[in-house]
Amino acid sequence: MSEVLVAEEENLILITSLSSDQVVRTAHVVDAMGIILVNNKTPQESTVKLAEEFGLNIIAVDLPMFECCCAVQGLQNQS
Amino acid sequence: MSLLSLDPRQSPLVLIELIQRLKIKDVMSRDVITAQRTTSLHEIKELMRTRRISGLPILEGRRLFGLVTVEDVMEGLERGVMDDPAEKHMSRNLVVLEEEMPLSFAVEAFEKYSYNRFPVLNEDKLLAGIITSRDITMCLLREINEEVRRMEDGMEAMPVKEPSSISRRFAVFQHDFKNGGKASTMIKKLLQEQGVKGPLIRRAAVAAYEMEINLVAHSLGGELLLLLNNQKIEIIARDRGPGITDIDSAMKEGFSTATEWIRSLGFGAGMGLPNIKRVSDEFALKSSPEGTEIHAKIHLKEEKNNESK
Repeated sequence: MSEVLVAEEENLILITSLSSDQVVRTAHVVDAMGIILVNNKTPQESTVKLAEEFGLNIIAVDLPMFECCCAVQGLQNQS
Repeated sequence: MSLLSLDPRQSPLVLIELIQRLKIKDVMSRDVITAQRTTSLHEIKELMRTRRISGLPILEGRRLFGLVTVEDVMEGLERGVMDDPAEKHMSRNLVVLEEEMPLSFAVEAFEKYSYNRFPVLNEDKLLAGIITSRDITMCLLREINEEVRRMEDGMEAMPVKEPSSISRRFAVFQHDFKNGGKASTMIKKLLQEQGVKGPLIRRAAVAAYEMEINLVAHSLGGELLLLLNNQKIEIIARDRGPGITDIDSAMKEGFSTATEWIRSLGFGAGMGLPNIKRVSDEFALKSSPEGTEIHAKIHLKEEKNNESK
């Protein structure tokens, strides 16, 4: 998670294969816009609840990390 | 009897805040009476008598070499060796402090050792001054007077949104990954409520979160403290051990002692301490087997390069 905390950019999207509460807390610390869980990981109920508390969206996708990053990059380029 | 307690439950928070904010160089005496290693005990006795001091550092050039106390002189008198050079009778195993250390380090040193004074070194390891418990008491009295005056003057003038002085303490437990990060979340919320600027909040939150996770992952448990006044945000992490054995390595990016289990949770990349330092305007770390203490200060008004981070 420290690699994420190093990031200086605004409006980050955290793409990860980890689905713990700490992912949400890390995203909250860096003011991320949302979290994408790759590899079809399902977040625990407490994790979803914490994300709601912080106003963070969580999306779970059935994509590997690399493909997910490419897809997000593609969407960003389109917009 | 201890000079002051660093436990927020035992000392007023304004004192704790002052002890954390002030540095040893703000308090120490710079006008130090010294002698050289070849100076005789007789000459030292005369210096002590005329200058009304009970101990003085012995130098070689400007480098600290030892310390002669009034007890050493008395022993020299009893043994009839007053013509001997200081180096034959001085104490060589000294506890020294550094001028850039927070004053809390000096307070702890006075609590830990039964010495009346500690030599203070500069960054070149040369003698910069000497600090006594009286220096600390006098400085704190001056600062408290000043603080009271500022409070009286500023009662009406203080803007509503100006961050005021607050402090909070959060207990953090070993391997409590479930709750790890809660204290940092509360710190972030408090800073938002106090009207601190967004980029500064992010830096403080990163420092607090890294410290908190370090407490959870690597320590036997401890506490996270937030001190906020009109000048700065200060985050302090204290634990009960086991200490960092190699601080230089720990400060390098990528160095980690985390177990596989901790890594599987997404931590232990070896970026924690460098990250805390990166987001801080001032950073201090000390560690021993009894515990580690980290201070990260972020200035509120002095916008430096870190502002963009």
